[in-house]
Amino acid sequence: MKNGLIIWDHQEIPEQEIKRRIETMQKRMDEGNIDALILFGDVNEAGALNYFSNFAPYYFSAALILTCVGEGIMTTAMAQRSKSWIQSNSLIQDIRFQRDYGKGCLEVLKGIELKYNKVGIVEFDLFPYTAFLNMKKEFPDVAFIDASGIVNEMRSQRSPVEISLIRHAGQIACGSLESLVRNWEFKKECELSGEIERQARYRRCEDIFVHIASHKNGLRWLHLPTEEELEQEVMLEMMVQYKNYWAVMGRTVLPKHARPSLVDLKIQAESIYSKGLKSLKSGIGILDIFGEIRNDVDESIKIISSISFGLYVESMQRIWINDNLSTSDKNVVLQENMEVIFQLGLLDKGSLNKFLIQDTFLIGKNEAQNLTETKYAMTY
Amino acid sequence: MLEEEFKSRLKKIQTYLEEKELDGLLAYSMPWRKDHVRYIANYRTWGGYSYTLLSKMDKLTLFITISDDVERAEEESWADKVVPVKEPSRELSTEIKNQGITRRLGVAGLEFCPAKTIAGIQDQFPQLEIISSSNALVNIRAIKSDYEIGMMRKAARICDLGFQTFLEYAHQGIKEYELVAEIERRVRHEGAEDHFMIIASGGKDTMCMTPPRDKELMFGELVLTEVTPQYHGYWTQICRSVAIGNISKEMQRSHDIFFRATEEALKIAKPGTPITKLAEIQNQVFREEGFGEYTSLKWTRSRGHGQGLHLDEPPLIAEGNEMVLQEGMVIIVHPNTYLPLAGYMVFGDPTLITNNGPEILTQTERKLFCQSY
Repeated sequence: MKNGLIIWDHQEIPEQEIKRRIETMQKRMDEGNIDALILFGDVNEAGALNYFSNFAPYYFSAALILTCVGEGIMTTAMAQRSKSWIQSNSLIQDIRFQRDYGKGCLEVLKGIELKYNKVGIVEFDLFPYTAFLNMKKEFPDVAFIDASGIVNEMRSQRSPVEISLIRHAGQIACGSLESLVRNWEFKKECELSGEIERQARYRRCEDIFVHIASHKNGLRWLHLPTEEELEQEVMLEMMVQYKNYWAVMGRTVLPKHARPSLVDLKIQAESIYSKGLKSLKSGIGILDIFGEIRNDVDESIKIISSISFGLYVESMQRIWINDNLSTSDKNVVLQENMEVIFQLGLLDKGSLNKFLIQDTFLIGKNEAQNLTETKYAMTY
Repeated sequence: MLEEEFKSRLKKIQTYLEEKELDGLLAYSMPWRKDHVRYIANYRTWGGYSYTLLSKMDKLTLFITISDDVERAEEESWADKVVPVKEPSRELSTEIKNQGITRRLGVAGLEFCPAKTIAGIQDQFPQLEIISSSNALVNIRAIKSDYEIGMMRKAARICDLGFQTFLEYAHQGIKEYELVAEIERRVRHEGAEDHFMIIASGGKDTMCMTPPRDKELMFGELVLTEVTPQYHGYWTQICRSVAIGNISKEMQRSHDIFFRATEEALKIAKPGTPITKLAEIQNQVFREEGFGEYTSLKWTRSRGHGQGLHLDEPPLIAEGNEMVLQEGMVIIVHPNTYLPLAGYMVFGDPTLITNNGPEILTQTERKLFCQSY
């Protein structure tokens, strides 16, 4: 949960960066005859809201209403007493406190001159039904359109500020894991995940998710940590959030004297991953990348590989390597400045050995930049 | 045990469907509100969104948007069928039709369920009446079974251990976020699957708790927190305040008011007591001490709340709440508010309502703590 440090460092995220985003959006709204844009966010998903306000709720939901001029109005169910804290973390200074954010949106909309009778909703897939119904009732002549596409297109091109935040999140993940490996004395999965939480939060992460798998889980892949005993080798996936930006990495941690069969799998995984990386660049399609990975793999080995991309880790689209890819998945082509997460897992169905490598990349013209760069195999 | 638990929950829901003449119940959960689906299907929503559909046919279908989680869902959940979904309204509509739901459908979580899903279902079935079943399901969930109370006892034990760590590390010079990191480690180490925590430190100008800042704890300040671990789905919360260095007269006086308010409420916390009385009796203590103003929404949110599969669930302990306490409810009585004596202060424990009176589930001493040097 979002229990980590939340603070706005103006040097790291200049006010100008957020103002630039708002102004670009306002131009597009003007071109599209959109009177207002409602950006809804809750604890789970607040990417678009954060993009234009530098604010994400840690408990109660919030919505930002943007019009073609000004910096927007935020409405939230948080207590009015938290106003100065919100203002210290957000560009938006006009904050309206309303227990029911649906009502909050309505009240703000009532104060806006609706020239075109067109209001865009961002994250329409998530926008709550009751609030939507009330707005439709109150404004029967207004067209409420799904404006997620316009915003997502803007957000998919990462700015240098954003890339640096993702890189920082990656450094937290790598640093935390490296530090753990130096003092590896964990008996249970929950002990390990507890220490990861501590390490990452000391490094100023806002939120973190940990997923684990080991030999004893049979054919099962990553899962949420339990109170079960840990095995000698463990696969770890860490999703780390820093200033609202996520980096995802996965590694396999092994004892110095691991089983020879596992070491063989490790060598194979590292080689395949390196080959896959060469095809991670602008203009390359998903099928080409998966084709590269599939070559030279023994039939007894199951490949668990995916390419994920998205604007926020909770809503990212994950395409798994398999023979039944949908047409839309097959047509995905990597683009410059796109952030992707590349996972390669190998599972030996006979020995049940497993090996995982996973990193977050920024796609470039000729190669991908690894934003979570650390050793592939961690030994203790 | 779990099978009995599932059958018992199913029976309660079927009774509700009968009473309200509903053809079925759709429940919605997301990572922030996993409670409804967890209760019905024992599925822990992991990223993405999930729905359950239950009709009078007694067939439980679980819909999940994370397609690679189907195997885990089939293994762990109570659902008869797990369906991965891309367009929820489409897949849900198919199942609604298959299960013969034609007249009335209750939706638990309607207020935060995506408009696109519900509107899509309504388009498919214009004659179908969709009503909110959120309160009904929350009311069913409010009375905890023996299994649930067992889980909440374990969660309460983690509260104690988390606060013990808080006390151990809450010293001059540590930053708020570093202190939270220590608690995170401890509660996870003890088996918490998730944890919610807010914190504040400072003097009389502290108005509320927030996520941690990079502020250091200082001598003479008060540091306060809510430690709220989740164990096997169930949340419990402990609220305590700690003085750094020494306890000033104002701090002690303030805490005495909080303590007395809580004690008064606990004296009447038994089955049959209207929730409003729990709030009124606490507020009365503040009024008697000359601080009635600080019981309003301007300074505080509530006098406590229920706990369970969501960390802050009904009954909200507030004046005017007409709900009545029942055996098996787990609530936290906390008069957390700002007072000009020593700033914002917190105090409270998870409490099980029994026929023999309230049972406090945590064991941490109920006092204002001091980290002395």
